[in-house]
Formats: sequence, structure tokens, C-alpha cells
Amino acid sequence: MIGLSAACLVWVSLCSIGEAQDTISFNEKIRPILAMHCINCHGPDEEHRQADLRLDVRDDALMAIEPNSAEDSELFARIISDDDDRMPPVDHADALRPEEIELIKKWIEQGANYETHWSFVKPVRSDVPPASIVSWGRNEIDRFVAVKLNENELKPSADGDPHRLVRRLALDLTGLPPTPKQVERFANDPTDATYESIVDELLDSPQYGEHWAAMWMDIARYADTMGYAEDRRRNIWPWRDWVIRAFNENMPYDQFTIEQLAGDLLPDATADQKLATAFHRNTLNNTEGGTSDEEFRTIAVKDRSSTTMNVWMGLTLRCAECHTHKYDPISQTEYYQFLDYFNQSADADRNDDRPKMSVYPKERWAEFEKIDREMAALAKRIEKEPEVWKILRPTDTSSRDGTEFKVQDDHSILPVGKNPRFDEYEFTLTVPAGKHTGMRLEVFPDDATGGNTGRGYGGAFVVNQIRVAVVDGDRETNLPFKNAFNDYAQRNSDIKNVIKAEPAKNGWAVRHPIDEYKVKRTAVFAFETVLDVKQPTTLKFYILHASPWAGLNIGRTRVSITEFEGEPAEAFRKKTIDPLRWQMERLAKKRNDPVQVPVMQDRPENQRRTTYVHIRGNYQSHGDKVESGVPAAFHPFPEQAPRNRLGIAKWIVSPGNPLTARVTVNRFWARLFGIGIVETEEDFGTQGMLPTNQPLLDWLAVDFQENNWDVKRLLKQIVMSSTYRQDNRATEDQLAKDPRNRFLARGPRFRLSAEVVRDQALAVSGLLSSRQYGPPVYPPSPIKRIVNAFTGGMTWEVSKGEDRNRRAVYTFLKRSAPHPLFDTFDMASRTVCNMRRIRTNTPLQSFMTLNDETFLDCAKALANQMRGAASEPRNQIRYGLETALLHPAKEAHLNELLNLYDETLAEYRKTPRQAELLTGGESEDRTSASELAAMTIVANVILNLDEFLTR
Amino acid sequence: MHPFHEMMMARAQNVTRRHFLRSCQLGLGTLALSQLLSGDASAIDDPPTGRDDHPNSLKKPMHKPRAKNVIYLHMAGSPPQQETFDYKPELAKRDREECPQEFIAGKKFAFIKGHPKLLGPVHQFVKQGETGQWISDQLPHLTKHIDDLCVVKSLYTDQFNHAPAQLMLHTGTPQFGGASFGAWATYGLGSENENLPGYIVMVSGGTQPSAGKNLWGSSYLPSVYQGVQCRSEGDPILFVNNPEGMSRKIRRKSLDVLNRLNRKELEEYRDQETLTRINQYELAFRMQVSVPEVMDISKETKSTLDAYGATPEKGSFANNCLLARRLVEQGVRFVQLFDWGWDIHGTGKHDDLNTQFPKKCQETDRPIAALLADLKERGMLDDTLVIWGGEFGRTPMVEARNGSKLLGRDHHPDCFTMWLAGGGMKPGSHGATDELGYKAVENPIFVSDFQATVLHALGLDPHKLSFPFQGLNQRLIGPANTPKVRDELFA
Repeated sequence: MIGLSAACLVWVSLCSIGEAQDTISFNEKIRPILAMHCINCHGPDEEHRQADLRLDVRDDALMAIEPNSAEDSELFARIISDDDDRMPPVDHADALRPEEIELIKKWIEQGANYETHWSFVKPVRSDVPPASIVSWGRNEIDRFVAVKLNENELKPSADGDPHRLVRRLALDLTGLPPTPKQVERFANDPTDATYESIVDELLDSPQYGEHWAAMWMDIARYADTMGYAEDRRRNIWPWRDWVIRAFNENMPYDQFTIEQLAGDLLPDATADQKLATAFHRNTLNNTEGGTSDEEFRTIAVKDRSSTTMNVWMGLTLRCAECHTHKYDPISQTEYYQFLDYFNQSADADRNDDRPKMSVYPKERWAEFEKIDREMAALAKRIEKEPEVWKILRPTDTSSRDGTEFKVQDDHSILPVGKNPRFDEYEFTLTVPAGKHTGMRLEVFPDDATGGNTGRGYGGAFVVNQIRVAVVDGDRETNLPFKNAFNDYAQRNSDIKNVIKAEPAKNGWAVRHPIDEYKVKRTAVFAFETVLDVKQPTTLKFYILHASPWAGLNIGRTRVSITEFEGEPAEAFRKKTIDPLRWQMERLAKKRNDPVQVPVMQDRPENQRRTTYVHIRGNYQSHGDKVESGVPAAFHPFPEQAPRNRLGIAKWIVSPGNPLTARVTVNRFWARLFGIGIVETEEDFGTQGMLPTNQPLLDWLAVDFQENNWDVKRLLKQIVMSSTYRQDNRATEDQLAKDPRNRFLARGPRFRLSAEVVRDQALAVSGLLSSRQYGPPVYPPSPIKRIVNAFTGGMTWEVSKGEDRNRRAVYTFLKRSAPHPLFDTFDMASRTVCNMRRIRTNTPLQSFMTLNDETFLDCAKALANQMRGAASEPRNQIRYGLETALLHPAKEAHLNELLNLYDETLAEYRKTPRQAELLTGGESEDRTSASELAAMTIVANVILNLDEFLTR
Repeated sequence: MHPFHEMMMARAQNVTRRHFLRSCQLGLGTLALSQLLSGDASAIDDPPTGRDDHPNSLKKPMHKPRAKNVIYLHMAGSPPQQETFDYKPELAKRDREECPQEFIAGKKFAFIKGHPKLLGPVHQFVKQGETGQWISDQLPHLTKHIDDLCVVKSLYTDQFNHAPAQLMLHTGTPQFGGASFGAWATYGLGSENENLPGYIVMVSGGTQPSAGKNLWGSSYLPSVYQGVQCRSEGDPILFVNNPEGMSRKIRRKSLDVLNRLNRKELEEYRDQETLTRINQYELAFRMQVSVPEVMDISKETKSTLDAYGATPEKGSFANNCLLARRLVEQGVRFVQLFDWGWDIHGTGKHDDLNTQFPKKCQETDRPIAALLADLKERGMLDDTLVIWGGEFGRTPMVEARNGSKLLGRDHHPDCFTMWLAGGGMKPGSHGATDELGYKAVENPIFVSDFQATVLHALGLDPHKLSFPFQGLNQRLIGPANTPKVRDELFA
């Protein structure tokens, strides 16, 4: 293997380390048995406790245990009994296995000593096994690992091949392959110094934050929609960008924690700190009509409370919602005491997701400055422009079915009071003398209608007819329109339909896939004949609502008239009517277009909610009233901390917390090794799995905490270790002794995550966009239309230009129908916090990487690159292999793929049309089309190699 | 962690890979592979007990099953029991009277406000069959099968909004994050056909059910158990078709090369995942034939197509019923059909009892009857359990939202009707509601009992079928031990 590490591979026997093997460890051996077979009925949960016996606490268990004498212990008698009194009861579960019985026996004989569950004891910095005993490895991690290897009679592997090692490193740290230059640099000079410089480069690259933010999105149950039946869009992506920046700026993890949990409560909180709290606004919101807001508010609050405990402390609080936790020391009352901190937030499952804050995304600041300059210049020009539209203030308003109106200062008309099923509005207007050619109707989103332009369900409106009449005494003469144009309409719902003599079946409707009903809309109408009046004249303006769905009446509107010379509707279409003001309006919209992001905000002190125990978890059955508090089994609440979310955040990162640092270092470790030191990353409680190397975990945790919770430092520490750098080829011995590589005698090898599978393919084929941040994008998807109940669904409009090929973390995530990439590659649903994706290996994944449009685009692009890189097919293939796999191509690969190329090319020469179909007819001639097609097949194979999908 | 779970996890994560030594024989030399993994060679001597190491391989039921497969017809939105199976003459008599005060006292409805009026059955009922059951005259075809139906009139739930109620029924919890019925069934039993997914879902009526894909998700169960949605437009399964311009011959050639190269990788790295991957690509290749084949109904006889009212190439509930039979015939464990359009509120002609409801009956009556007849004729009904129903019931009161004059009923969790057919179920009427059909009063069956009963029929112990997640052994029936298997529904 590569020279550098061979010399270090000195292995010294370690029998001097390790405990006496004979003492049975309660935590390792006995607790799991009790937890599995006994604690359900003999545990902390008083309500369901049997025979008044609890076995999780020694003093109580002594009722049934006689230390040092298994024979005299009732517990032992019962587990070995053949009679009806056997435990666990015959009808309930199987008997203990003989080896379990043997362990219990020995343990009782040894005194039946209990230990606190390992993870509830604060970690202390473990002693690093001294170099005099372990001579393998580069840093402390290796020495801890070496001890375990020795215990398991395994030997570590040498460093991996430099090419593959740099690839592994880059994919792990940034989610993207390294540059060929980085690979070459290390291959030519495989020293620790070069390796370290590459590690530093990768940690500093802007892509680093995107990769780790992608991980955080699962944890935060992030999505771009609200969930439940309607699953409406939610603009919370600025928070996703906050996370990316936080990782890139290497925000200390304690600060990262505090700001997300309680940034709003920090003294003089900055806008960014408030934005950070959107973490807990990723909970679902049920906007379906007829649903109880309090019910779903409660669900969201419970989710925040249990997610907090789960993400930071690896404990599963949810069990205690309905009854005292059966396994971990959290009573039902304590569950609700903890919940009280989260129960004070102002959000309440409102349809508009309030409270929100306005965010002007950082990446647009430069653009805003430019717009400001343009607007200033434009304003000067507009001063000299004559008025084109005369805004009409109504002299009277009425309606057929009872809508009432309030005329606003800007002369717009706001409907108020009842919202009838179907109504016709009637505005009386006075127009000045002149030769009027048309009218304009503006409709504004308004707070009174939930920020929407309509009064109907979800903010909708449908207008079925618009007509105008000239009033002369009692007589009204219709003033027909010959044309109309709107700035936006849904399909088949154009404004042109509603100016006819008969009301339109499909009226004017303006639901926008992204903006929904939240944007101002404008329609312009051209009179059939010029309205030439010599004196002020009275008009009536009618807006009719008569759609099949009730209540879809329009919101705040404003009417204007024009003497524009020419046809105003057509001019509006061409943007030639009043172009400067129109441009100004557009600019102003762009400039003043903050993203409204839902954030956490507590209710004022005098409106504090009272928290009750919910009997059996039912939000409607209140038990005792509770005050805020943290579970008594853990460290105390920090004395100086406020009794609110900020206090909780401080409690979580306080030095006394036994779990936070362990859970965190374990999570980062798991991403680099494919599996955590504690495999159940999400459960550090008594039901979780034990650490395979607790001294290592504790050392890392304490070191992390004492070094300012520095994430990049932690990652560097791990990847600098010899443990991480090991070759990941398995020997027979390793496979036999440790098939799952839990003790790390070889380097980690596992399939890339969903995001990285896609990003890597785009990267090596040269298609990946490096654009960062901003609203979610819509890469190609085979699911063109997603139809949800009640809301009419959404069309997946594929993004144009480079937005097609952005990193996967920017892909629009619809909760009820995520892009197939995600659920095909193991992302759990983004409805609750998920700490760990369980990797699977399915034919649907093969379909995706073989046949999906994006992966085919990649194959084509790579084939094009290959053909441009060399003239001989063999060298073209070499280029392709080396670009994708980043190590010198092997002869066998070259031969196989060249053979495939030749055979495929022969096929395509016989069927040139097929070649054109595959390549999309981009090639100049048939010869090159066949060649490109054949090379695309080769590239498709390369991008599906096991080696490519694995790191 | 319990050894059983450890084993299931191991399976799920494909860390034990003995099985592939067998199944890879298809495309690869057995000898080379056995040499390759000589570290694990003892496994080769194992007798072929079935494909027991693959996550989706056939598993032994926990007890003797009544049914092997399930076809679940979910009428999304929830049909009114008052116009389908739960005939209430007293309600007819008291049509448009104000409902009793106790119906509304302290009660919350999704839409009904004030003091609503009772609404008698809007359609006629007929009494049919040897079992003498009442059934709506809107279901003339199903009427012929009345003696095959186990009609349960006393189901109830605790959710009265669509998405939570659907989640409750299909995943055991009203919140998102539970694993679905079909996922549990395939997790527990595996699939009979290794060339097809074990759990297939089809949607009709133009709209996804309210709770979306979560209804057939695997959640914490490994994603291999998730329902695979088959579509009537485009690829029947996402990406199953080769891209245009890539023939099957070229695909075969390229997969041969891919497999040979991956095998070299396996030789060098001995990573068992690589072996799995080789196998999955081979399975994918076989599915490219098996899926379009099974999804192509054009080869059915004209009389079969006519019986269902199915039209090839056009997505419809009728097509989906026929496909359900074809899939089950091929050994697919769990087929689930969601048909939208049953949310009969009476706010417009698109959701009222006089227009929309008869239309939905017409769309579904013939295909369902044909499915039952077809299964019977092929001798498949004995071990196929067919389930029909919505997510909750509807009120015996007229909704009259915003004063609507059209007839409709609001959501109602306290009683609803479902029927089960085949799969060892006992035909006849089970349970009953009160005389006005407001509440299940005789043998009420909560949805968890229903779930327990169906799992039991499949040979699974609903109390033992579990998966560890978030500190709890998660189960379809929830954490409490109260749900019961309702033996009275079994023949």
C-alpha cells in the first residue's frame, strides 16, 4: 500500500488494557434483557405497573432479587419456572433464552449491581490509550479504535489508495467529487501535509455548507409545502439558506442550537437570529376547511417539543405523550412540563402561517441596489409623463346579495361584512368629460382577505362577467367592450371570456402555482366604441360572481379610465400603454418583494397559555395544570436562564448535559462512516443500541464541547485519522469477524445519499450549476402534475437554464409528493424529524440511475465531453472513466467498455434513427449521431457502476 | 434490540447476502461468486428454504392465513352509508325533521352549523340475496354478489377530517409518519413474485387522496416496502422504460458489461452491497418486461374488458380493478386502489347526492362486481381479501352549507360501513347502528380492530408485527394492547 502509512503499522498487543472480563456489566448485558422482557410491565410507568414491582430501580427490584444468591431470588425462580407463574407470562412473550438466564444468574451472584444508563451519565474525557501501548495511527481516534480492534482480534488496514481516498474525502465533506487537480496533487505527493491541505480546502469550499444542510433538512423535517390534505406552498427556504451559511461560516454548534431554538428571544436579536427560528416552523399546518386549528396547533407544538429532545439529546419523548415513558425516565407530567416551553408560541395553525417575518434574501442585495438606482432614474422620467389612467373614486357602491364596501384612501374598494355565496358588485363612478377608450381593473391582495386577492376558499375569486353601463336618469345603456387583456389568468380562465353579453362559464381566475392569490392582478378593457362625453357622466361598473363554487367573490379592487389614443387592451398586452409607470410598478414589486417566512414568536406574558396534561394524549381532555420544567432525571435547568425556549436551548448546550455532545459527534461520525458509534442515532435511551466504542465517543464528545463546539474541527479530526483513511477493501478475516465493520478494521464503504447520487452525476458530466441559495427549483420529474384534494394541484414546471441542474438540496420539496429521487433513495417523509436514513438497495433505484431524464442528460453530456477529449474511442472511454471515478482507468474496464462501444455503434449504424432519438438529434450528421449514441450508452454504464454510486 | 428486529434490520439493510448467491445464478456464474465470498461459503450449503434473506423475500406467516393477498378499494372522500348499505327506515320517516338535540350537543362537525335537519336516504334500497341484506338501488351489479359480502356497519374512527382519517385507517395514526397497511403486510410476508413489487397502488378519479403518498409510504420501515404507484399514463412504474433510442438488446448488452465490471468490483472489495446491486439491476431488467406485461390489459378478452367496463390506454377505476386482478394473479401481495370523488357534501353538483353520488356509483359498481366475479371464476376469491370503504362515515343530517339547497352529508366518525369479501370472511351483515344511523351501537368496531383483523387474516399477529423506531416497537395497530382481532367476521 502507499508508503506513507506502512511504517506506522506497528501493532502491539494490548492485553494490559481492558477490564476484567468476568464482571457482568449491567448496562451492557443486563439492562437490555430487562428492557426487552420486563420493563414494559415492571418499569417507570405506574399506571401499567404489574404486581407493584419495578425492576429498573435497584431498591425496588430488591423485592424480587436477593443479591449474591440467584437461588433465593424470586426473579430468578420465575424466569426459570416451567409453571404458569413463569415470567414473562406464557401468553405474553417467549421465555428468556438460556444464555440470558445464565447472565441474570451470574449477575445476581455478583451482587446484582445496577448502573445508571450509560448515556445519562455525563461523559468524562476518556484517557487516550498511550502511544507506548498502541503504536498504530495518527491521532487519538485511532488509539481508541485500535483498542477495540485488539479486543476483537482484528488488525487495521493500511491507508486507502490516494485517488479513491481523496474522492471519498470530497464526497463526505462536500457531497461532490473532488477536482481532478486535487486528486492529482495527492496522488503525486501522498503526504499528510498535502492531505491536510485538501481537507482544509474542502472544509472551506462553499459547497460544504450545502452538503451538511441537506442532512439537517431531514432532521428539521424541512419542506416547501405545509403538508396535510391541501399541502399548500410555504416560503421557508430563506431558513434553508440560513443553515447553509451557518455551516459554511462554521457557526459553533451551541450557537447553531440556541439560534434555531430561540434566536428570537436573544437580547437585541438580529434578523438572522429570528430567521433561524424557522427551524421549528417546519411543522405541518392543516389548512383544510373544517379542521380544528387548536388540534393541529397542539400537534405542531408536541412535534417541536419531541423533535427538540430527539435532535439534540437522542431521546424519544413522544411515548410520554399518552402515558409515562415505559423505558426512559420521563413521566407524563414531565412531558407536559417540557411542552409548556413550546406551548407559548404565537402561531396557531392559521391558514396564512402567521407569525411571519419579511426576509430580503442576502443573495439579492446587489440586485436590490441596482433596482433602487433604476427606480430613481425612472421616477425622474415619470414626473414629466402625463397621467394615462384616471383613477375613479366610486360615488356609490352596492351589491345584489349583500356584500358591503369600504372605499379606501387610494380609492380602492374593499368588500366587507358577509361574503355571499354568489354576488354581483355594483360601483357607481363619475367619469370626466373626454374621449375615453377603455377601463382598467386592479385587484389587490389585502390583509382583510388574508393577504389574498379573493374572498373565497384559500383566497380565491372567480369573476364571471364584467360590464359597464352609462347611466342616464333611470336608464342604463350597456357600454360593450371589444377586447380585454389580463396580466395573468389560469388556464381557460381568461378575462376575455367575461366581457360578453352572457356570463362566462369559466370566469376570470388567477391562481398562480407559486404566488397563489397573493399578488396584485390587472385587467384592461377596450370599449367597442369610444365613450365621447362632453360633461362628467355617471357609469355603473358591474362585477358578477356566478361560478359553480360558492363564495368566490373578488377582494379589494380599483377602477380607472383612460383617454389613451389607440386600443388600450392591446396596448396593455404589448406594454405600450403608460409603459414607464408600468415598468415602475414592476420594479417596485421586485424591490419590495420580501419573502414572508414563518418564524417562532412567543405570545406576550399576559397571554401565556396554560399547559395541562392531556389525558391519553388527547388535546381535549385536560388533566392537571403544569408549570414549565425539565425532566428530573437530567441535569438541572441553568440557574440564570430565563424560563422559556431560550432557557431550554441553554439547558441543552449546558456543560452538564450528558447527551447533546454525544448525540452530535455520533451524528457526524455516522455520516462519515455510514453507521454511528451508537447505531441508533435517534435513540440514546435505554431502548437504543449501545455504543461500540464508548471511550471514543465520550472522548470525542468532551473534546468537541471543550473546543467551542467547532464542527469543522470535529470533522477534520475524524478525516485526519488513520481509521478514516483506511483502505475499504475487506479481507476474509474481517468479513468473518466483523461483517458490518462495526470495529473499523477497514475503511468505510457505503452508497451515496440521494442528493449526492444526483449531484455527483451532474458534476462529473459538467452540468452541475454552482448557483447557490434562493427559491426552490424544479428539475425534470416524470410526475408532471400533482393533484391534491381541494386545492386543484400543481403542475411541475421544469425550471429553465441552469436551475434545471442545481444541487438537490434546492429541489422543491412537496410533502405529499416529493421528487422521486428522494423517496427512491431512502429519504423518509419530511413530516416528522428523521435522524437517520435506512439505506436500501432496490430495482427502483436502478431504474432511476439508468433511465431518469437527468441521469440520461448526464450520460449524454459526459459522452460529449469524452468525444471532445480524444480522437480514439479507447482514449475517449479512458477519459470518461477517469472523469467519473477519478483514478487511472483499468485495462479490464477499458476493454469491456470499448467492446460495448463497438457493438453498440454497429447497432446504431444499422438503426440511425434510434441514435438520433437517444441523442436528441443534436449531432451534425448520422455518423456522429451513431457515435454519440454509442458513447452515451458507455457513459450510462459508467454512471451506474457500483464504484460510482459508492464512496 | 430484539434478535428478531436485529434480523429484520439486517435484512432491510441487506447486510446478509446469502440469498444472492442463489438468485444471482441468473446472470452470473455461481462458481465464481461462491469463490468470491468464500468467507461466507457455508451459506451455499444451506438448503434453499425460500428466499429468506432478501428484504422482500417470502416469509412464513405467523399462523395459518385465511387470505394471501389483499385488494383494497378505498373510496376517497367517504361514501354515505345511508345511501349504500346502512338502510334506516326510521331516518326515512323522519326526513327533514330537526335532528335530536343529543346529536349536536357538545359535538363538532367539519361544516354543519346550527341545528341541522335529518336527511332520509336519498336513494331507494332493495333487500337481496339469501343473506337478506339491504343494498342501494344505485349498485345493481354489486347486488348480485350480496351473498359474498361481509358488510360491517358498525365501524367507527376518531378522526373527522379526510387526511387524518385516511392516515388513521391506513397507517394506524392520524398524524403523518406511520407505515402503511400494505407496507406492513409486505414487511411481514414478503412478495410472491420477485419480478414485481409486493405492494402496488393505483389512483383514479383525477385526484390523489387527501393524505397523498403517505397513505402508501413505508415511513420507518425500509423503503423497499413502500407502495409502488402504477400509473395509467406514461411509464407504468417510474423509469421502467428504456429511453427512446435504447433498444432492449442494447440495454442487455450494457447491463452485461455493467454486471461484469461490478463483479470485478465485488471481487476486489468484497462488499456485499455490490452483490445486491448486481442483483437489483438484474431484477430491474426483468421488471422491464414483467411490469408492462402485467399492466397491459389489451390482451384480455373483449368479454372480460366489457364485464369490467375497462378501456385499454385510458386510466379509469374500471381498468384499475382489472389490473388489480392481474397483479394479484401474479403474486402481488397488496393492491390498493384509491378512487376520488366520494366527498358528498352537497355544496354543488360536483358533490351532491343526486348527481355526483349516482355518477360515482355508476363508475364503480360494474367494475367491482366484475372483479368479484372474475376472482371467483378463477378460484382466487378464497385467498384474496377484497375490502371496500371510505375513511369515515357521513352524518344522518343534511349539511346545507351556507344554505345550499343541494343534498349532501357532512363527515361523521361515529359510524360507517365497509365490506369485505373473500379471504375467509363470513358473508352477511355485522354490527349495527342506532335507528337513525348516528352511532355504532351493536358490536362497534374501531379502525384498529379492523386493522388487527385484516392482519390476522393474512397470517400475521397484529400485536407482534412491529418495528423498532423512536424508542418504541411501532405497530400498525398502535402502541396500546386494546385492539382485538374480531373473530366474528371470519367464516
